[in-house]
This record gives sequence, structure tokens and C-alpha cells, in this order.
Amino acid sequence: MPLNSIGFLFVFLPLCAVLFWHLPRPARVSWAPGFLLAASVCFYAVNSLASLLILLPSVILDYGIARLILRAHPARQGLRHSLLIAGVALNILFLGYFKFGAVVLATVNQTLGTSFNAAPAIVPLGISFLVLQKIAFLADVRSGQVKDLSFLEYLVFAFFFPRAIAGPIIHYQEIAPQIRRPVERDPREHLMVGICLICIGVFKKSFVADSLDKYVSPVFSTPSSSELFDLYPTLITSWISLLCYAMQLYFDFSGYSDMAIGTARLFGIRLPMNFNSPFKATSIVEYWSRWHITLTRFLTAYTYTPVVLFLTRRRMKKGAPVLQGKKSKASAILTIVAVPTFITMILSGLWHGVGWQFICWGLLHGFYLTVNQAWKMLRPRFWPDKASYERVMKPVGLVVTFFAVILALVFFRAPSVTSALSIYAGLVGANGVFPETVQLYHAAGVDTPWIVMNSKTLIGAVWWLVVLLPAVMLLPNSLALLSRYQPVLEGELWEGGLVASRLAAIVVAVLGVLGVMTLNQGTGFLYGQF
Amino acid sequence: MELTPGRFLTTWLTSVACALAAVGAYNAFMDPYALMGMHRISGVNARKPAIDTQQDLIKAYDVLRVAPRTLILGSSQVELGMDARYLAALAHNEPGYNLGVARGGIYEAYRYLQHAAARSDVKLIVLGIEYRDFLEDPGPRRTAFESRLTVRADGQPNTYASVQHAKDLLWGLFSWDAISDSVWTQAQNIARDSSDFSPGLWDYGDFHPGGRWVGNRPFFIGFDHMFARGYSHIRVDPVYMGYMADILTFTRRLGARIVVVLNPTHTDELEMLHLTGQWPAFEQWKRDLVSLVARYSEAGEPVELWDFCDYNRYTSEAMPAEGGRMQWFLNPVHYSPALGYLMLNRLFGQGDPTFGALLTPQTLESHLAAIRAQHAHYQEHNSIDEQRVLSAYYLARERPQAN
Repeated sequence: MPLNSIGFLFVFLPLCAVLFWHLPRPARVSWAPGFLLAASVCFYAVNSLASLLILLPSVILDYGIARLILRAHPARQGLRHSLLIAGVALNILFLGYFKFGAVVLATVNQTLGTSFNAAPAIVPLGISFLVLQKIAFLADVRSGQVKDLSFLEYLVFAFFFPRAIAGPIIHYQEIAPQIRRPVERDPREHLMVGICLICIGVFKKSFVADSLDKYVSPVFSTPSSSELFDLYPTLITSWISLLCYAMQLYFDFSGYSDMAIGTARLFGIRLPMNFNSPFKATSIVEYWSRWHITLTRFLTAYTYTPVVLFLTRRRMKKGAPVLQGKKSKASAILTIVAVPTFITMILSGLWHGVGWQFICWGLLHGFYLTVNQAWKMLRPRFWPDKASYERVMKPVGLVVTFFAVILALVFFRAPSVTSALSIYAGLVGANGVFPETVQLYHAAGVDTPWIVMNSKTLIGAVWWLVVLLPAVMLLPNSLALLSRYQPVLEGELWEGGLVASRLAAIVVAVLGVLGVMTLNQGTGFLYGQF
Repeated sequence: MELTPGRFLTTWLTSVACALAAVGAYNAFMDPYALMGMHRISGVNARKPAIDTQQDLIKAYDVLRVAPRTLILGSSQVELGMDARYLAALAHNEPGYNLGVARGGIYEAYRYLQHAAARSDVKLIVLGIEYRDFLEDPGPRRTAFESRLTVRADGQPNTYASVQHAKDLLWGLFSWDAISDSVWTQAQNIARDSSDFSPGLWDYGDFHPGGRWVGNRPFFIGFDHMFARGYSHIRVDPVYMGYMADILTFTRRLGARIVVVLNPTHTDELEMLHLTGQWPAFEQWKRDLVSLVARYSEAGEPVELWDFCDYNRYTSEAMPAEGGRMQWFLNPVHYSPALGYLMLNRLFGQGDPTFGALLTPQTLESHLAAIRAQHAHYQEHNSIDEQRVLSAYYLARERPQAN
């Protein structure tokens, strides 16, 4: 019962929302956390009870560690730090076992000729997201951002069902105050915003993202075959497929995020923003501030910044130069910018999946970010006039960033590095320009207009791209459209925002109906697999 | 004008209800999958072009409504080429129904036979098969169609079928696919130029995208290429002979007559079987079939096995120039209804006596020897076509295989 299922949208969610808002009013304050926990347990039980049973001990263990950190005397920093390290290590081992266990064991068995069979039978629902959330929680407890703790609220924080499948990654201090505060008497604004986001989200996921899959999977799957996309990718098939994948991934994950945020809002709870029109970014740094925002802020706060601080302090101790704006030395940039960036992005790649292709994706983004950060620092030296720079480079940056991102997506989507290299070969025309069947006919002496041979698939893919590419670069996103009603906790959104008009209600209804009408063609969310 | 949240929600809810009602009413009226049993009005919704993509859905329910006494089973070859109504009239055993489905194999034929026989008094079955149906299938097994069938594979009633029926009705009323197909149905009924289905035949108006402009030739080249790739690394899977035996056992239990037909295939495919080294396995497959059929014939009602899959004036139809259309074939594997009528006539003692042979253990070896001789004769007298097949073979071997 994922968020994009009939059971969830038409049975589970309405039932929970109706019960939540119709609980006896005097008791509602105390009921809310318990109700949300019960609903979340039901959600896990329906989706994967085993996941709940596997995750629960680790969640309780983290609660215990957090309690110990809070109880430890502030003067005993060493103990508090050790508890944090132990908690983080346990979480990483826990995630590593479920995510990498099967691959590591297979490699060990293959290398040593052994037959160990301790690989996990299942990967618990949303484990990657939950583990990051728990690590952030322990770090926040250690840093004093979380001062008081309620077990019930903590369990809701860990298992809150709207974010269970693929985030957003939330902080305890973001959600606990919302759970414990008195529930408003009039839920209608919450319901309005929640329903709008769910309708837009289900439309993005089911109607758009799922429709694009048929143009993506055949090129990225091995072996592949279809009308348009044959056994190996050519210039046209590779580019169409890659552009469609970029759109599919964005609409899938941002659609999911809209649904998650909207679902939480049905219970009066605001989640943090996860997407903010990433394809409008004019630099790769800006792109990461707009794409999967809650992961970026986690990696920045708990990986990148600590490494930067550590390396800066070490260089300062040694008397080596540190970053000094446009006067920064190459060695300082390499150490304080490149190293933390590469570490962070490789970890990000590994978090997304097992395989060299994810490491390559991380390395590529590490490279992009390093170049971008270094250029940001050094640019005044080469192009001092900021106004003219921005006038010229903003449009260029938009295009460069877009292509840099989608080229890296080849590694992100391909099942292996070999497969990714085959796609790259297709992108530069190494396998020819036209689809393979057309090349085959030409080679066999049949001069058939190729557009006739591939018209349905090709026109379909191009039609989607003609509509979607301008949409993602020019139109305001769903959260910006609803900015008048504070759809998320914080974030820079469009200041205008739409008002709740009759036309808006009709458009939202049509989007929701279209989304529901296409629910059947979809599978799980793409980020659900991570 | 800004609405209050309450007014907004009321407007939203009303809009959702109106949109769903409009979509459901339109889909019910156009009935693109013939699920609702709506009257078929000429020029409006009579043609059902959705048959191209939704055969399992349409036929699973349609065959129960028709309750046929004569049944054609098999894959798209029989579905496109054999007219069940004509067969039923020939056999004086009406109504007839063509229950062939695209990409259907022996197992699917067995399951659909169980499904149809559970609600109909089936007396005559023509089962069209090909060598390809008995090869290892590297792809995922088709299982989705089974949820609609009235019986499970073990013969017990499928209790989930009514749930699936309800889901299909909802899908047929409210899905995006349904509304797209309804619009397409309406457009094609106005144009009167599309695929359509009747209990007898799948009239594939758009057999290949662009086929009407480019003729048959490109599709022969495409299929030849596919054969060259596909036949190079594939073997017969004995599991399919097991399903074949299941069909014969089931038919005997029904007390029905069954005629097994080896579908005609163009000589391009036969030549490719030679080139890829499949010919000995192909001959052995025929021997195994004859042996199986003989076992069943000895034990009860005789089972007929007809072989149309050889070199003859129809299967060696010459390739027209680019843009030209062929009379007997759409591509190397799919024969035209014109050839299908000849086959059905032959089964009932009429038509061309040189086309098709009844296989028995006594006639088999001489028949196989005759085909070998036909092959040699074909190579001698059809150098242009032979050259085309050879080019496709070598071209496929030169090209990379996968990502």
C-alpha cells in the first residue's frame, strides 16, 4: 500500500484523516501523538510488518542512547561524544548490513569459495531515510538542539507514515512541537492544502513520471528491445531516453514529496521542503540546494561541514594557508573544498545504492561541485564585474547545469558502469544516429522513412519533452503555488502564490482525477528503492 | 475571488465527482474493450481498435458471452489468419470463436481452453502452433491474464475472478487508458480504418506502424534479423510438450475433436532455421509432436496433426519491391486471412491438395525428406530471396548484442 495506491488514497488516508479530526475534542491534544503512532503502525503493518519489527529495536536503541547523552553531565563531553559515535556507528552498521550485506557476502563467498548465508531476507521499508534521520537525531541531541524528549513523540518522529517510504528526512525538533501542540478546531485549511498537494503529487507521479518509463527502461535495461529502442543505444534513442529519465526522476520524486507533505498536512503537520524547481538552478551548487533538499542539508550539516572544519583546523595548526576568497591557493582549495566535497558525494552515491555506477555518479558530482565552488571563490579575480557576469553567465549556467546533471544521471540510472558507458557511447553517436532498426533497414538497402517506422514511440517521447522541459524551467512549482498557505516548514518560495479560487479547485480536481486514472500503470516510487 | 477553505473543498469535491461521472459515462458508452456489453453502433463505437493492445482483457470476457462450440487457439498467427466463424460454418458447429492471443504460447492456449470450456460446450478445437512456441523463453512468464480466467490451472474454480472482473470494470470506466482508448475508438470509427475484432478474426488494420506506406519488405528484414539473433542461442524446452499433452488430455476429457495445425511460416524463417543450425531440432520437434499425437490417437478419439510449415508455393511467396504488398503474408511469421481460408478449407477436404500434409508416424519421415528436397530446390531457384536472408544473417552476426 504505497502512497500511490487506491487502498491508501481511498481507504487508509481518508479513514485516518476523518478519525483524526473527529476525535473527542477535549481529549484531542493527548490523543494526537498516540493516534498518529497507531496510524503509522497500521501503515507499516499493511505494507511490511517485518520492516516494522526489524526497525523497532534500532529505533528504541537510539532512543536509549539519546537519553544517555541527555543525562550525561554537560562537563563530560568525552562520554557524550563517545555515545554519539557509538550510536552513529551502530546505525551505519545497521544500514550497511541491510543495504550491502548481500553484495558483500556474495563477494566474500565468490572470493574465498565459502558459502556463508547470512544475507538479509528483506530490506526494511525506508531504512535509508530512517537511518539518516536517526543519525541526525543523535547529533542534534549531542549538540543540544534537542533538549527534552518524549518517547511517544520520538516514535511518531521515527515512524510517521507520510514520510516512511522515501522521506523527507526530518529533524526531531521540527516535528515534535507540531505533534504536541493543541490541534486546531478548524481543519479546513489543512485539508485544503493537503488535498491540493496530494492531487498535484499523484498527477506528477502517475500521470507524468509513470508515463515516461516506456521511453526510459528499454535503453537502460539489458537486454533491451522495443519499437524505438533496440539492443544498443544510438544518438537519438540515448538522448531521448536520458532526457525522459531526468523528467521521470524529477516528477516521480517531487511527486512523492508533494504527496508526503500533503499527507502530513492532512493531520496539521508541516514537513520540510524537498524540491524547489531544481532545473531552474544556474549552478550545480544551487542545484543541490533545490534537489532533495533534506538530503543535502543532512549531508552538509553532518558530513561536509564537519570535514571542512576538521581540515581547516588541521591546516591552521600546520600554518598552511586556508581559504581566502579570490586569493585562495590551489592547495587550500584542493584540501578544504575538493576533499570534503568528494567524500560527501561519494557517501551520497553509496547511500543511493550498491555498485560502482553510484560511486561514479558521486565522483562526477564531486567534480562538478568542486569546480563550481572554486570558480565561485576565484571568479572575482578573472571577472570582477558581478553584474555583467551574472547577466551573461546565468543563462549559460542554467544550460550547463542542466546538462551536467543529466549526464551524471546516466550513472545513476544504468544498472552497471559498462551499461552506462554504452549509453555515453550512444550519446556521442558512437552507435550511429538513428534507431537501430532504421540503421538495419538502411544497411539492408531499404530506404524507409525512419520516422514512419518509429512514429508512435518517437512522437510520444518528443511530445512529453516539449511539454515538460519548459514546464520545469519556467513554471512555479507546487509549493510555490501554495506559498500563501505555508505548505512547508520553511524555504524560499514564490512570494505571490495562488489564491484559493474556484478555478484553482477545478484544476486541482482535474489533476487529481488524471492522477488517479493513471494509478494502474505505476509501480513503486523510484526513490523507494533507495 | 478567494474562496474560504470550506468553499474550496466543496468546489473541489463537486469537480471530482463531475469529472469522474463524465469520464465513466463516456467510457461506458464507447465501451472500447466491450466490457459493458454496450450496443455497437456503426460509425460511433462499432469498431474496437483497442484489440491491438488489450486482447487478454477483451477476449477473456467476450468468449464467455459468445459461448463457442468451435474454438481456435494459438498465438497472433491464428488470431490474424484464421476466421473462426468460417471454420464453424464449415464444420456445422456454430458459434465459433478465435481465442488466439498475441504472444500467446502453448501454456496460454491450454489455460484459455480451460477457461472457455468451463462455460461453453466446446466440440471442435483448432490449435495453431509454431516451432517458436516450444523454445526456451528468456523473458518473464505471462501470468497477469490468469486472474481473469474462470478456472485455475489445477481445474478448480478461480475465486479471484469476480474480484478481477470488478477491477477490470472499474478500470474500463475510470482509467486513463480507457479514456484514451475511447477517444481512439471514436476517432477510428469516424475514419472507419482501424483494427477491429469479431469472434472470428482479429482484423489488424495497423499491423505495423507505417506498414500501409512501406509495404511488407522492411518487416521481413526486421524479422529476419530477429530470427538470426534469436535462433543462434536457443533450444527447445520440453516443458511446452508437457502443456501440449495437457491440452490433448483436456480435450479428450471434453469429448471434443481437436485438429493441431503447424502454422505456415515464410521460407525466410525456414532458411534461417537452416543457417542457425536449428533444422535438426526443428525436425525432431515434428517427430516428438507426431509421437505425442499418435499416443493420444491410439488411446481414444483420433487427433489430427497438419503440417503447413514447409516449402510450397504460398510460403515461398516472392518479396515484392519496396512499398509492395504480399498476398499470403504480412511478415515472415504472420500469414494473411487469405491463406487462413485455404488452410481451413484443406482441413475439411477442400482446397489445394498440395498445400499441407496430414502427419502420421507412417508418413512422417518421407514428409521430412520431401521438405529437405524442397529446401534444396528452393535454394537453387530463389537466389535473390536466399541472398536477402543470408545478408540479414551475416548483418545480425556482425552487430553488437546488447548494452
